[in-house]
Amino acid sequence: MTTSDYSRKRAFTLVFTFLAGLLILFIVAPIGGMFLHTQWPQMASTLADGEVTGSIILTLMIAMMTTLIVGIFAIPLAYLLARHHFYGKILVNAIIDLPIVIPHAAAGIALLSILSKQSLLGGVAESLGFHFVGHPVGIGFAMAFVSVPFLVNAARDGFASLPLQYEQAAVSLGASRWRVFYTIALPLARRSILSGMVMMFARGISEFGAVVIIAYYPMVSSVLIFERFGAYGLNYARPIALLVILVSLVIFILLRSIGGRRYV
Amino acid sequence: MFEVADLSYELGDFSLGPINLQLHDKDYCVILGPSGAGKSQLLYLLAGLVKPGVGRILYQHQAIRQPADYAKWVGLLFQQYALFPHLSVWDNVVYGLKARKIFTNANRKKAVEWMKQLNVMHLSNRRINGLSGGEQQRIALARTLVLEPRILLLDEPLAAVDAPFRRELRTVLKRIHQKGMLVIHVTHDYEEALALATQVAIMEQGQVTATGSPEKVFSRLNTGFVARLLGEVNIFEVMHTAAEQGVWTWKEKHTGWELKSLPFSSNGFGKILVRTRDVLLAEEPFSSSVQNMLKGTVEAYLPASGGVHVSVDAGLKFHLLLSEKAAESLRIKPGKTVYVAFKASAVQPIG
Repeated sequence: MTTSDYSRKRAFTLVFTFLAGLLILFIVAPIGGMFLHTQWPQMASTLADGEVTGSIILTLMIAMMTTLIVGIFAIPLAYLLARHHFYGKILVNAIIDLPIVIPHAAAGIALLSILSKQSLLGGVAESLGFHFVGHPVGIGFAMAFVSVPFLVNAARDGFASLPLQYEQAAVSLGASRWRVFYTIALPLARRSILSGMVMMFARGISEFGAVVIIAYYPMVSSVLIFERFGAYGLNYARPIALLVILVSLVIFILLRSIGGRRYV
Repeated sequence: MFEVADLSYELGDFSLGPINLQLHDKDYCVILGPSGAGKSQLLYLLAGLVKPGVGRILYQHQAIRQPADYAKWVGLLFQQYALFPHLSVWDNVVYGLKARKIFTNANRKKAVEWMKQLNVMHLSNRRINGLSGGEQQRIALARTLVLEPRILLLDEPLAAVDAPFRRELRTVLKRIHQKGMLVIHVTHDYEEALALATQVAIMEQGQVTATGSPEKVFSRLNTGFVARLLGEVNIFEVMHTAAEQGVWTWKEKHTGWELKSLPFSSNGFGKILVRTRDVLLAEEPFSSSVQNMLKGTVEAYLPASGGVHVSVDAGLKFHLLLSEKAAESLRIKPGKTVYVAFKASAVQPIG
């Protein structure tokens, strides 16, 4: 390699590093700004505020339960999409992606059409004394609607990336389709599935538009931040936002680190 | 008896079959064909991993239809081994036993025995990643053999293995076959076929174009693929008769013709090959250092890539490749008397 080749390589690396650095700054700057502008006595009182901590715990719990419950349906769907060819598969894939492009307030309104007491499902629940609207289960529906594409897509890509021969080998050794799925496909795709679950969980925590239409109360953290901002101003909303970010960061680092090693 | 009757399969532009095969329980059948001929697909059909369009597979005159029947009788060794990377070597080997709910103490002992025989017992607790190709191959074999299949299907088993391991694995495969298992082995390597097969099936473009004993199939230029193979080699079955001054003499089994070679490791009989590029052709006998010179008659000549393919009947059938210019200057035509010659060093053992 000549000296000019080295110079060109260095220039290439410098330009890419500069562009990448700007993007990271774009993400870090607002969060750093929050740190700098937060008054720590306010942060301490936020931590002691039962409504705030209760709201964060509620948000995390609903997002986690939603992710786990939806996973029961999303993982088989992802496997079907990865391993089977069927008529209308393109349509199904498009439907899965739909919640990503729908404005989330519109998603909330769409959900009301199946959850409100005037709807069939909502009506049946109402007759049993259960109200989706204003209930954590309703919030879970809103979170699930907007975040499920992240899990399905990641799990589908994970299954699709596995060489088919692993499953064929298991079949040739006498394993049933069920066994092949839970002893071979599922563990081998677990990293992608877990990644999708983390993304779904994260998207659920951050959801505001759809949730606020289904349930203003009980208040999840995004709604609480909005409410404090509207009622008391930026100085009261900022510590809650910062707290939510810190809690989320810790959870994501933990979840990513238990993702395990990649086998294939 | 293992029978394949009118087996066909289509996927997009590719069509396979109809395939008909009849194999005995103690056959070692090598399905030989170029890449893309559909060999692996045929194995997947025989293993029940792919559903045929039409046709039947029968074992002991009973049709095999259900996946459980395939798994019961047929074991498949994948070309890339398909070992489960998230399981230990031991868990890979006993996977089939657990899947069939026959993970008994007796079968656990069998798994240990196979692993010892295949020299992988010491790897028992290791993960698959990081093991050599040869080790993975033997683990995959142990995983298949512990289920005691009656029919063992091998998909290019020696393709991804280094030369020293290849010889060792050939010996292992021969030993497995001698235990009384029907083996169907897919390859594009004629040397594997010659070293192992009791039956050969030539496969080209989704069709089986020739079947029979290796001697029968390779003695005829009845398919393009065999012709191309024989464009490269002459194969003879021989017995060692004498050794004198560093030169060994061999007697061809069927004709009694004598061939001379340099010494090599041998148990006194077997197959030898002489590459076509090492065979000279002359109109008259000539004096030189070559140890082998035979008089014969040109039987056929065909245009081939890189020149003209000539068959000479000299008691033994010889195939050789000449340039078009050489063929012209020698005025090669069927019936012409010629002399074929090759050095003792051109004779190589097979297997």
